[in-house]
Formats: sequence, C-alpha cells, structure tokens
Amino acid sequence: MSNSMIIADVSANYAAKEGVVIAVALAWVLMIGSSTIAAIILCGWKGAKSISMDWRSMRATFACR
Amino acid sequence: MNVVEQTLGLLSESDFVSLSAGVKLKDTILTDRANGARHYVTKNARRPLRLLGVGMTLSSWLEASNLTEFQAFEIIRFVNGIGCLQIQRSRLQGMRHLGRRAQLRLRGVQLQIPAKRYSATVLGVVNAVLRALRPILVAVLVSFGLAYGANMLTGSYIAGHLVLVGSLAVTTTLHEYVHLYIAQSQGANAQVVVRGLRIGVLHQPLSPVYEVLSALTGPLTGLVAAAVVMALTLAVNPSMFVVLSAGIVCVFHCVSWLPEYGDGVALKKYWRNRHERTT
Repeated sequence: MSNSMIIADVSANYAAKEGVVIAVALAWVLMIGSSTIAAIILCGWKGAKSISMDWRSMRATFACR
Repeated sequence: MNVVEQTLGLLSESDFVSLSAGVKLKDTILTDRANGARHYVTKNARRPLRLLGVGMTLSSWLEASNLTEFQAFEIIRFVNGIGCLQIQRSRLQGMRHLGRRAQLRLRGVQLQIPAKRYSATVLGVVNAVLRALRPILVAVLVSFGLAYGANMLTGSYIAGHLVLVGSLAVTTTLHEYVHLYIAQSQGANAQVVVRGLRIGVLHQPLSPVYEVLSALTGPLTGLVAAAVVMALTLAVNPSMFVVLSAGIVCVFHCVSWLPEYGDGVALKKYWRNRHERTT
C-alpha cells in the first residue's frame, strides 16, 4: 500500500488473525431465509402448509394449503 | 458529495473523523503501535494527519488541511486501509449515510468498508464481536418476518436462530480472545479490528511457533466451545433444527483454517517457510 502522500512501511504485517465465522454464519442465515422466500413465492403469503428438507438429495418439498 | 464521492462511500461531511488510539504522527513517521508499523509521511500530508490526530468534522478537516481533492482521497483511503480511521456520527446521520451508500452502490461504485479498532481487552473483544454481529441480527429479524409470511415461524425456528446468534457471540469472543491472549503473553502489542463482517486481532509479529499456536488454538477454542453449546442444546431441546443451528457453528470455526483466510494464511505461511528451509 503506497502512495505519494504516505509511503507505507512494507515490512509491516497488516494481515490480522481474522475469523470469518460471522461472514459464513450470515451466509447460513441467508440460506435458511431464502427457503422462506421460496415458500412465499410458491404458496403466497401465509399460504405454505409445510416444508420438508431432504438433505441427502438436497431437495426441498413445499406443501401449500 | 465529492472528495471522490467522500472517499467511496466512507464518509459524509458532518462525520467526526480522527485517528484510532495507538496511531501517532511523530515528525515524519506515522507509527502504528498495534503492529509496530512505521509509515513515512510526506511534507504535504503531515499537517492533515496532525489535524486528523486531534479529530474534527470532515468538512472542517478538508477546509483546514488545504489539500486537493485527490490528496484528501489518498489520505483517507490509506488511513482506512490500515484500519485506523475512527468515524463518529449520530444514529440519524448513520441512517442517512446508509442511504447514500446504497445510492453509490446502485451507481456501480465499489465502496470502501470502514474499519474500527478496539482495545486489546476482554471488553474490547466483546464490543468488536457485537459490532460484527449487527448484520446477522438484522438478517435474523428479516428472516423471522419472512418465516411468519411462509408459516414457518415455529418455536424451533426461533430457538434455532437464537441459539445460532448466542453461540456465535460466545464462541467468536473466545476464538478472538485466544489470539489476543497468545499475542499479549509474548509481550506483543495488539488491537482488535472489525472490518464489515470480518473480525481479527492485529498484533506485532510473534515467533513462528507462537504464530502457528495462535492460528491453531483460536479456531480450536471456538470449535470446542461451539461443541459444548451443541451438547447443551441437545440436552435441553432435541429439535433437529435447533441442534443443527448450534452444531453448524463448529463448522464455521473450521472455515478459519482454510488457506485463504486469516488463521489459514498464518498456517500456510509457516508451512511454506518450513518447506523452503528443508529443501
């Protein structure tokens, strides 16, 4: 990181011991949330009766009222 | 708006800007106490950085520092790049600022992610984790609204998300605290840095053995703590979704060991150096 105003210390290490735990968790919450969006799109607002997930074949079955 | 769209969406004119604690300008050198960096500051940038050290609103800083737009842009981008630009604004200003960022994003501007530093204490880690968790909390609340509309807002759906957020808060705090503890036990200065969803500990270099120890034990502590939370959840609430929500946090901590991310990068660097020494 160098520019004409400030010349960066190239020997300095700015690679922090970073955890990506929260970023991955957000992806998980969005993934779960997306199944609710799918239920609303397929069955309408409050129209879904049940959703069953088959994790082996990665299939979700939406039953509407 | 300008100064290159207030440095690509980071700032608004009324924001109070300053340098983080631990970053000081001494003559021509900007020292960063967290990792011992010494950046050389050219003549034109000294007064603006000194003013930034004192802290003032962005508009006052731009007026007093007497810089061209591009010079101001360069300084702000650099200071945020090393994670030491402190930005303070009221909640109302914060809401307006979010709107401006959304506008810039829609125009295809690649926005800068603001970084915030916290002290190397337990409270500092807790505050950092709570800040990083904010987007998750928003996502969970939105997900509850959607689940209501999809007739999925059951007890186990709510409990699963609450367990996930609780487990994340506790185990991430432990994960980061272990990094901090190892750095401090070796006499290294450190600070906790949050940049968007990423939280990390910035510290002075450690010996290779301690770098590896830190990179291994941080995620391991998080993983073990998450496993304990999962076991407790299983004992209290045997719902499949709730247990899965608690258990998945173990996997999230393991992701930190991938070579692309912080802890994995430290491990990769160690193995590469070791391999080079032996060959």
